[in-house]
Amino acid sequence: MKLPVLNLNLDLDLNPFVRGKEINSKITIKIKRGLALVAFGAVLICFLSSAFAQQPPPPPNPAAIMLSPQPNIDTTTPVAATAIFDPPVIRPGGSSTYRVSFNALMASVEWPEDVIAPAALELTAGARGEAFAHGGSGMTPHTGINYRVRSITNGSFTVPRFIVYVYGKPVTVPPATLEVTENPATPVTPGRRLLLSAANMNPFVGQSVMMRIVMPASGGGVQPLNPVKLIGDGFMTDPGIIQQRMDIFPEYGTNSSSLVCDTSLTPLKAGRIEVSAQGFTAGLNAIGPIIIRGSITLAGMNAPPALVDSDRITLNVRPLPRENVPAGFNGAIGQFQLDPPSLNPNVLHVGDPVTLSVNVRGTGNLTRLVAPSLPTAEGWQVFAGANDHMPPQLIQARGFVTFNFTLIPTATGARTTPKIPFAYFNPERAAYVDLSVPALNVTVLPGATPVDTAALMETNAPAIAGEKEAKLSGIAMTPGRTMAGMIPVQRQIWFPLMQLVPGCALVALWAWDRRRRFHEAHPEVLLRRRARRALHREWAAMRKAAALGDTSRFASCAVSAMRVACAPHFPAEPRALVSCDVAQVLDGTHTTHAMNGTDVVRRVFAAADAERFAVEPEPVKDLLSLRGEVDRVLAELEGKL
Amino acid sequence: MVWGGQRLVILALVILSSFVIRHSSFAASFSDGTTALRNGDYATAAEVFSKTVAQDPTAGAFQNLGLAEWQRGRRGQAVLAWERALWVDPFNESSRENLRFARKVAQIEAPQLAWYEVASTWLPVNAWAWLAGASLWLAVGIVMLPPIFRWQRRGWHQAVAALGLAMFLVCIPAMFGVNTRARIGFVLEKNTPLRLTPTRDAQTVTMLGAGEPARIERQRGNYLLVHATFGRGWIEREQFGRVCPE
Repeated sequence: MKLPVLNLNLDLDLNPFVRGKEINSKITIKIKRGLALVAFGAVLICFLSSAFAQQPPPPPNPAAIMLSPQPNIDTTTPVAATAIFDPPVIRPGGSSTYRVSFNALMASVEWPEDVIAPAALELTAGARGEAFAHGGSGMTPHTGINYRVRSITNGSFTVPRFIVYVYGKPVTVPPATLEVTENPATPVTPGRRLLLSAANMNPFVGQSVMMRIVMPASGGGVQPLNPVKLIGDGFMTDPGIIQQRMDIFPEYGTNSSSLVCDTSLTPLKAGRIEVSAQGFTAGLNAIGPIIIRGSITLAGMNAPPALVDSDRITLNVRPLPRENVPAGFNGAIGQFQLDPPSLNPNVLHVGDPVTLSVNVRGTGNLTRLVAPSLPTAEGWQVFAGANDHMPPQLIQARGFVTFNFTLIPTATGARTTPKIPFAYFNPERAAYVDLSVPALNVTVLPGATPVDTAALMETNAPAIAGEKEAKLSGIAMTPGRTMAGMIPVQRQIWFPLMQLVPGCALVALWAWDRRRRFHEAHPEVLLRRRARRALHREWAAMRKAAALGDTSRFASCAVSAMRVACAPHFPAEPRALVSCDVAQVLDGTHTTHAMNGTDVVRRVFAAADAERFAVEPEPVKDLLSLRGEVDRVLAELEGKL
Repeated sequence: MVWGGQRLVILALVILSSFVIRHSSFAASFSDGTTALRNGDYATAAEVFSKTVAQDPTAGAFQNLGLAEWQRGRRGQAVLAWERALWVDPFNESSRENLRFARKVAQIEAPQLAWYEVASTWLPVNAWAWLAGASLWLAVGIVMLPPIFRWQRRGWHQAVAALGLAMFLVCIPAMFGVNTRARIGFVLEKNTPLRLTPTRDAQTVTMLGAGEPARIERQRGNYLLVHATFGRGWIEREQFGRVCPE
C-alpha cells in the first residue's frame, strides 16, 4: 500500500503568548499522511507547552488578597455539642431555656425538626444564631439553638441524648435534665434571658422606635453581648447605633448590674409585627464601646458564647394618614425644627453657584432624613440637596442633620431664594407639619456668564415640569362613578333591541304619512270607505228592524243605507239624495228578479217618506217582504263603491 | 281605580325602599372597607371591597381594592382592579396614577392599544353606545320628521343631521375599540407559565409576571389562548383576570 505524500507548511507566531522574547518558527514537513497528523499534534503541543511554560505567573486575585489577612475560621476542630437547661431548676409554671451549642458553623448543623422531650415539657422553638470567637487557630464558630421550656408538673425531666449531623458527621448532643419542684434545695436563680421593650407599642410606619434590650445580671455578674439583633419581619434596624451600657437598674429586680442595649427600629409596613431580640454572650470578645457606670461585676468572661434571647413582643403599626399629605413630605417622622438657613454670600452674580445650608434638629428618624426635592423656580437653577453623609452614630450624637442645596441665579430679577417645601409627620399629634425652608433675601448682580443660562433654563423647563413623580394615590372616600355592570351595554341583547324602538316609530310615522298623502290625493277612496262603513252600519240596523218587524225603522234604515251607498258617486250629502238619485246609480240593472231594483227603491223611499212626512201615516203592507230585494239592491250598491 | 292607585303607590314605595336599603348597604360596606384600609388591615379591606364591587362596580371601590391588593403584595390583582376602575370611569386620575406607579415599580408594560381603542378610553364605555344610538336616530329623525309633520325646512335641520351622522360615525370605531378592549386581561400571579398547548403538562413558552397584559384570542376548557407582549400561548383561566368579566 502506498501512502500519499502530504506537504505541510506550519507557521506559528507565538508573540501574543510570550513577553520580551520573539519566537517565529517556520517548519516544513514532508511526510506521509498516516504520520502527518500525529506529528502535527506533537509539534503543536510542544510549542504551546513551551510558550505557556515561559509565561509569568498570573497576577494574584484581588479577592484573594482581600481575604488573605482575614483570620481563618476553624472548621477542623472536632465538633462538640453541649446541652443545658438554663436555669436547671424551676418552679411549676416557670420557664427555662433548653440551650444547645456547637462549635461549628450554623449552616453545617442538620438540626432535626422536632426534639424528643418528655411529654410534661412544653418546648417552643426560640432563637437560632451564630457567633465567632477568637480561638487558637483562628475564629471559632459557635452555633446556638434555643427552646423555651415550660412545665407545670413536678419532677425531673431529661431530654435524652440524640444524634445531630454536623459537617456530615454524627455529633452526640448530651442529655440535659430539668428539675421542676415546688421546694428547690437551693434558691431558684433566673436563667440568662433578654428582656425586650419598646418605647412605643403603636408607632406609625416609618417612625423610629427606641427598643431596649436588657440582660439582667445572672450568676453574680453580667457580660456584654455580641452581636445583638432584633429578629422579625416588616421592619429595619440600624445595627450601627446600638449602644451597650452596664449599670444598676433596680427596676429589673436586682441590685446587681445589668446590661442594657438601646437601639432603634423602623417599621416598614402597617399592621402587627412581632419582634424578638437575641445575642451571644461575648465574654472577652466584645466589640464596640460599652459604657460602664458604678461598680460592675463581670462574670463568666472566659466561658464560650451562649445564645440568649427574649420573648416576642408585638407592635401595632399604624399607617400614615393619606389625607392632606403636604408637598414637601418625604418620610420625615418625629419632631423637628429648622435652624435658620445660611446663604453665604447673599450678593450673587448671575451664573455663580451658591450653597444654601440648613440644619434640621429634632427627634425621630433623624439619621434617615432625605433632603427634600426642589421645585422649579423662576430665575434660579436649583440642584437637589445633598444628604448628610455623616455616620448615623455621629448624626445621632450631634442631634441634627445638614442639607446643602446648590442654587445658581439665572437672572438679575431674583430678590429671594426659592422657598423649599419640607414637611414632617408628628406622630404625637398624628398630623403633618409644614417645615418649609423660608426664602432668603439676596441681591443678584449681572454676571459675566458666557452662556445664556436663562435660555438654557427655559429649554429645560418643560421637561422638568413634565416629570411628575409616580406614586400611589390616597384612599377614595366616595364610591365615584358606577356602572350597572362591567359588560358594556352594546354587548347586551336588550340594547340593540331597544334601538329598534325609535326605528319602528319612525317607520310607522313614515307609513302614516304616506297613507295620509294618498288619501289627500284620492279623497274618493276615503269617501267610499266611509260610505261602505256607514252602509254596513245601516244595513245591520235594517236587518235588526226587519227581525223585530219594525216596518217604519226598516224603511228608514234601508233608505239611509241606500243614500250613504250612493253619496260618493255624486258626491253629495247623503241626506240630500232622493230615490231617483239611487235609481240612477242602479241604472236599470237588477231586472232579472221579480221586481226591478228601481221599483224597490221607490217603494222603500215612499214608505219612508210616508212614515216621515204624512200627517197620519198608514202602515205599509208587505214592505218587510221586500227585504230580500232590498238586500240585493244594497249589495249591488256596495259593489259599486 | 282607587285600588289601582294604591297599588301603584305601594309598588313605588317598595322599589324606593329596596333602592334605599341597597344603597345604604353599599355605603356601609364601602365605609367598612375604607376603615380597614386606613387601619392597615389590607386583607379585610380587599375582601370587603371585592364584595362591594361585585354588588355595585364603582370606580372608588375598585381604586381602594387595588390599593389593598397592592399593599398585600398581590400586584396582578391590584393592576386589574385599577384597570377596572378606569373601565368604569376613564376620568379617574388616581387609578391612572396608581397604574403608572405600579408599572414603574414592577417593570411591567401597559397594554398596547390601537387608535380606536385609545379613542374608546375618552369616554365611559357605555357612553359610546348611547351616544351612537342617540346621534343616529337624531340624524334620521331630523331628516324624516319635517316632511312628515310638514315643518318648514330650516338650515339647522341639515346641520343637526350632519352633526348627528358625524357623531355616529365617530362612535363606531370607539364602540369597536370597547369591544376589543373587553378582551384584554392581566396576569394575576407572578411566574405564570404561558403554555404551548392547553394542557397541564404542556411545554412552557415563557413565564409572565403579575400584571402583564394580554389579549384573549379564544378559549378552550380551562385555558385561554392569549397574545402577550412576549409571546402567544395558553394560560389557565384562574391565573388571568379580564377587565370585562363575563
